[in-house]
Amino acid sequence: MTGHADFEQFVLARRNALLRTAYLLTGNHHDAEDLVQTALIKVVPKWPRIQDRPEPYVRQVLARESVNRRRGRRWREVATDVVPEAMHHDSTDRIALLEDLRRLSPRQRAVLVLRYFDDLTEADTAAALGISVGTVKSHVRDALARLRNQRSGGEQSAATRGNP
Amino acid sequence: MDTLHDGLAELAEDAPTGGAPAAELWARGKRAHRFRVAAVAAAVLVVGAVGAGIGVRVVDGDGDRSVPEPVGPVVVALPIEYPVGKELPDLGDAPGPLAGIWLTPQEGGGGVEAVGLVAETGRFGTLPIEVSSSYLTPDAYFALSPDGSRIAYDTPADEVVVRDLVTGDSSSLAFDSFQTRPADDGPYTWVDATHLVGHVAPEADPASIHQGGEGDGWVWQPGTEPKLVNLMTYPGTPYLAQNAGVYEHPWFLTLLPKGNPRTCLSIRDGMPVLCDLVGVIGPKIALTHDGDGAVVALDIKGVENPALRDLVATPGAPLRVTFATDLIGQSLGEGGGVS
Repeated sequence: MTGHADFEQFVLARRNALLRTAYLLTGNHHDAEDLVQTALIKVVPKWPRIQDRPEPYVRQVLARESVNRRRGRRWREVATDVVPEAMHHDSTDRIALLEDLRRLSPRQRAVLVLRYFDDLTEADTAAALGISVGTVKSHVRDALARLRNQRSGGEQSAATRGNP
Repeated sequence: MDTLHDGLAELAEDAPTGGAPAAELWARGKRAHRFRVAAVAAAVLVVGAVGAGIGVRVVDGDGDRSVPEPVGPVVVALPIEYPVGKELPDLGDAPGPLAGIWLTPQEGGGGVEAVGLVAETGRFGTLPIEVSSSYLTPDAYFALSPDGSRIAYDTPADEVVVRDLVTGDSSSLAFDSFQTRPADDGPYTWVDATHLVGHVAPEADPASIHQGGEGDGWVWQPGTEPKLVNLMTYPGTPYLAQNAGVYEHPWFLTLLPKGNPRTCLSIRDGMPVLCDLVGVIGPKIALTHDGDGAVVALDIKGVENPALRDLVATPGAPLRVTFATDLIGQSLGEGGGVS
């Protein structure tokens, strides 16, 4: 099978899974589609080296691209004591969780998605993002603490209960 | 939702599906790669142009190129004997100018260690800098200034940091005010002691406003933010090669045989260029690895000169290396260069 055919087969089989990860990393459809497309384009030159096991490398590109993009957009953490109105009145945990994720730093968000959605180990998460295992642990700790604090009225969020 | 995993899984159900045909992505990936090869060639040719004294003029009016500081006494005997397997002392934050820096996997794995050779003492030691694990692969770049006083490298947080080895100060290159973003794993190089030049992200998606255009690059000086420049207007880049008369000077190193992984092809003219360029010293000498992993100095025209070989001949020395080319040039009895 040629590299081209192999790539097409991979895209066909795995694109929707990548889009799910990308959606969690970016928080919106357009950015998720753009992120996956960019990641797939970027791995083409490396395909001969990764085609036996492409997914870890593709996810690595996806995660790093996500972090870099948000950094390039001059993402800034804004501290606030006020819980936004939407947090109180949005009817679903799903929307609240999306809002919570948006308030995390790009790397905190990426760490949570890789650890708790893609079920990567700490070591694999570290490798995917090019950071140390210790940094992964501290990001998880800080991110979970922020998620707890972000939820209204100190009510413990479903988002912060339990580990995979 | 009972757990964060469940919550994320539910949220992911809202993700979009589908996208551009895989064949189109493949074609665009191939095109982006060809541009990237040209970008590497541009870096090679930029250093070649500087080595030839053509000079690099930044197009945003930054004509205040620094005058290189005189190089101090250097104790670097060639060939350099890299201390394979030896325990090395910590050189501290400000070891002074270094003649070379090697990146090598840490004992026991897990990270990457920077080893420096102090120019004035000839002493090896480790540098207290935390570098990206990307250096375990061949895709990441780092660069030592020609005078050995500054190293530029990627941190674990994917930032480009410049460490002043004389003062110990570090500067994180702030790309926040950039319209685009630096290339994730693109090459950057010192064109002199104070000007670091790199590429912005290749145009993977022409419709995306977050991507750099063809030929876009950045230049950084100490105490400033990176400025956007257009590498296409640099004398000596492939884009201007025909007009700049560069073909009169064989910057394309064709010494290596076809099929050698260290050669790339320029998309401009299909000529092979040397990808594994460790440095350029003056208008005559290029530094690269030979087939056994040793670092050798070659006539830039590809004419082998036995007197120039054996810059680093230690078996087992790490392949990831950058040299202070002015200092190495002194030891070779040649003019300065860039790395």
